[in-house]
Amino acid sequence: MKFLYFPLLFGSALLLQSAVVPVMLPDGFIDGFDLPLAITIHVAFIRGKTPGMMTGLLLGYLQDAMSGGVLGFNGLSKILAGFTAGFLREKFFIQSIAHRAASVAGATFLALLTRVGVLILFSQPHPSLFSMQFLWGFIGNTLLALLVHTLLEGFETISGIREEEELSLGD
Amino acid sequence: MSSSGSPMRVFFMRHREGLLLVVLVISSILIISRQVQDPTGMSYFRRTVITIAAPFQTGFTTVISSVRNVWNNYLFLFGTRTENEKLREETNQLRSEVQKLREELYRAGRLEEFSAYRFETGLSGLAARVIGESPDPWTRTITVNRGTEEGLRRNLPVVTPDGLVGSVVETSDHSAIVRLIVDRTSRVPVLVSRSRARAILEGESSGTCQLKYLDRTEDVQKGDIVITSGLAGVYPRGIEVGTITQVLTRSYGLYQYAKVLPKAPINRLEDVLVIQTDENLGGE
Repeated sequence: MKFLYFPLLFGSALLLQSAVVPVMLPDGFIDGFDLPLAITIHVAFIRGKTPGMMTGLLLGYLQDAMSGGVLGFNGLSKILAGFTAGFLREKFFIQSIAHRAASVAGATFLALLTRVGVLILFSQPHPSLFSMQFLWGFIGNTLLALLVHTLLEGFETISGIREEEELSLGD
Repeated sequence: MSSSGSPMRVFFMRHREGLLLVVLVISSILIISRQVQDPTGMSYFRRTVITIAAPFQTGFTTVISSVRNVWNNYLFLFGTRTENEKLREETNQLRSEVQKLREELYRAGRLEEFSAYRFETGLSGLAARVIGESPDPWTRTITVNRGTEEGLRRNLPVVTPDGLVGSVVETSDHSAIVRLIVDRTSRVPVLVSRSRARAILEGESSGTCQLKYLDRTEDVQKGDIVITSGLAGVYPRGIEVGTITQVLTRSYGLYQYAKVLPKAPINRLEDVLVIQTDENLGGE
């Protein structure tokens, strides 16, 4: 069952993001609801930089492929988000809620900043760093990632999926 | 401390995560730059992903709509069950049947509207069902249940009888991705119907569009209807796009700008019509 957990988690995140989120949320709110980003940060928090990056790579590229946009925009930003979240987790062993919130905010901000930076680099239409889209994207996704991490962490602990990760955190 | 590796090996082992990050970032930038320079190339990766994801999206959308129907039609009536179980069951059965008939009637109505639209405009097209939306919050696209096997290809315009929806950007065997006119990368050459002023319609991602490159001397007013000009060779001329809701004229510059609210119900699309003919293309 454990080996199916992450594929199911990733698949559900993508399907929820494409089939449920657009139906449930009004236009402006969708920018602040990127489930694959939240999952990337969660994986980086529980398993570290490399799994975080690989999750970002996988989910980001699948997201790009499914949305019809340029392949790599989401991939690149989520790779960096995974690395940053994993890096911050190692630096601040994220048990305190303040450290956890700051780490999530940092990874989310870097992901959005990378996305805008790459769009600018390739002369693509992009939102301003001071726009509501960017601001809400940052706030909404930070809150979402915190919520998703807390819920999944609880679920994984109760279900026993997280036992091995706990041991590896002590390294 | 192990002394078995060369300094190079030790360096790689110590910085392997950082090096992996650099490799992934450079690879991603190369992948992006290749696509941006050569937008006509069809990626096998994208084609495979779309092909695999489409049945899941269809299934998921069906399950979600069933759950929503159950929620809307049954669970809200939970309180009345205790008062009269039998009556409630009968009512629910009737409701379910009515809902089914309504859905059938709605779909028949939509198809009839599509037929009428095709007859009125002389454009031939294929009705398609929306089976998913973009999983990327920054991209406004939808996935429809028709693909290359049904004759769809890139750049075909997509409409509803209400107005323009967008154009096909990617296809797989039995599904296609449609870029909506509200997507930030969407560009549609348009005319203001009343004054015949030309402009380019750009998406704003927030559900609205903006008219750009609109000469500041042109007569444009709130409430004016915007139609496609047919100039780019993608969209047939004369398709209604939206209504101007605001005109922004600055005291400087060559152009004025206007906000446009799309006519098509972009946020609640269920069925669309993919225009498959080349008639009426290529300018006025």
